[in-house]
Amino acid sequence: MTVVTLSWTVLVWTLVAASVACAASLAAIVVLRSARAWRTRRLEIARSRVRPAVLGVLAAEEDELAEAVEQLRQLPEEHWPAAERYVLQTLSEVRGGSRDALVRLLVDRGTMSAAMRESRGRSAIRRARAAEVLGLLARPDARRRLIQLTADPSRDVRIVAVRALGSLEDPALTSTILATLSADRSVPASVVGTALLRARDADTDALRDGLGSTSDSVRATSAAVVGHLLVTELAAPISALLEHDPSAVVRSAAGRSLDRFGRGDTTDSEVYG
Amino acid sequence: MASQDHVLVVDDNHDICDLVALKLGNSGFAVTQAFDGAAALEAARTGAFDLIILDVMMPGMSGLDVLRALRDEPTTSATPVLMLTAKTQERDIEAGFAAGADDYITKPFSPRELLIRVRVILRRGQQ
Repeated sequence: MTVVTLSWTVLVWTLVAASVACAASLAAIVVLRSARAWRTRRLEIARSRVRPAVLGVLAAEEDELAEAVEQLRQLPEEHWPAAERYVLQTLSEVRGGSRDALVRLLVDRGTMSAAMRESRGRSAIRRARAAEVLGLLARPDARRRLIQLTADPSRDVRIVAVRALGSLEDPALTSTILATLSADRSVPASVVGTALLRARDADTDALRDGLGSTSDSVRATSAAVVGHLLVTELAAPISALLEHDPSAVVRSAAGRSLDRFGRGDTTDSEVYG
Repeated sequence: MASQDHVLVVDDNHDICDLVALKLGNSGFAVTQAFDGAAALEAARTGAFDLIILDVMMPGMSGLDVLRALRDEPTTSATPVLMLTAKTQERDIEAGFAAGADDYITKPFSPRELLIRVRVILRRGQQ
């Protein structure tokens, strides 16, 4: 009989404990969701306050630009974090004089120096975010730091740094960007290729070196970039790769590049032997 | 502009849509916005537009689908369409022109250049 009573007591207390735990979990979920919703709402309100001023700069004609930037600069200090976030978000969508004016404003307000500082932080997420900001600002004075970040211990940071270097659109960075394909840095070829193509112009010597690299990945990426940028001066080494390269990936990239030069369709037998 | 030209701006990104509308509105155009393909088609069918600026990548009906549908409709088949898109590959641009686009601007874009192209397309249409 005692055993049965004890069991009932244990059962009741277990149920009470389980109910309390459930209620606490539910309360925690509600609090977290409310906090998230409140934060999202606050960000939306902050964004809606700064949005007209930012769009005003982006839509301004040359003679209206200085005044539009001044209006944004004079936003109350408490609105600046939202403005900074919104401006950074728009930078990837636009180019031209208005964008340049927004970048100058961000630099004046310390966004770049903060990103340079954060890029030396201990958190890889913060370093990656800093590299992304430096890429959006696309200022030549960030070049050295971004090159250093291509050797960061975190692969994610290295990838963001290569994308950011691409946004500088500087052909002189070709060798540096190609070097990130090495096994120890392992940045994907698609990221490297896209970064190189942003320059829209070629460093012919660096691409020629790339075509002669011992790395399949560097040769293939260089060959693809040569084709996209139509560097016809390198048609001879590209033809040599198509004929003699041991890697089918490289031969295929070389064939596609020659096709872009107007040579005609590369045949499977040329690529696969 | 002899009379106020009316432009339909279609982009699922509200910021881009508002930016283009603001830029064109400041320059004297009447602007209507649509944020997806279905709304764009519905608006375009009224035949009230002198030009349509169309984003390519939209959820549901893509810009290219909208463009093909516009070209199939008698009321919109001759309306000039300028594609505004993040798709920068030559084959994407080719696909846009093949579907009937009159011009193509890739993102990131310059709002000033967009305005110039809009004026050129409209001038060409009036000649």
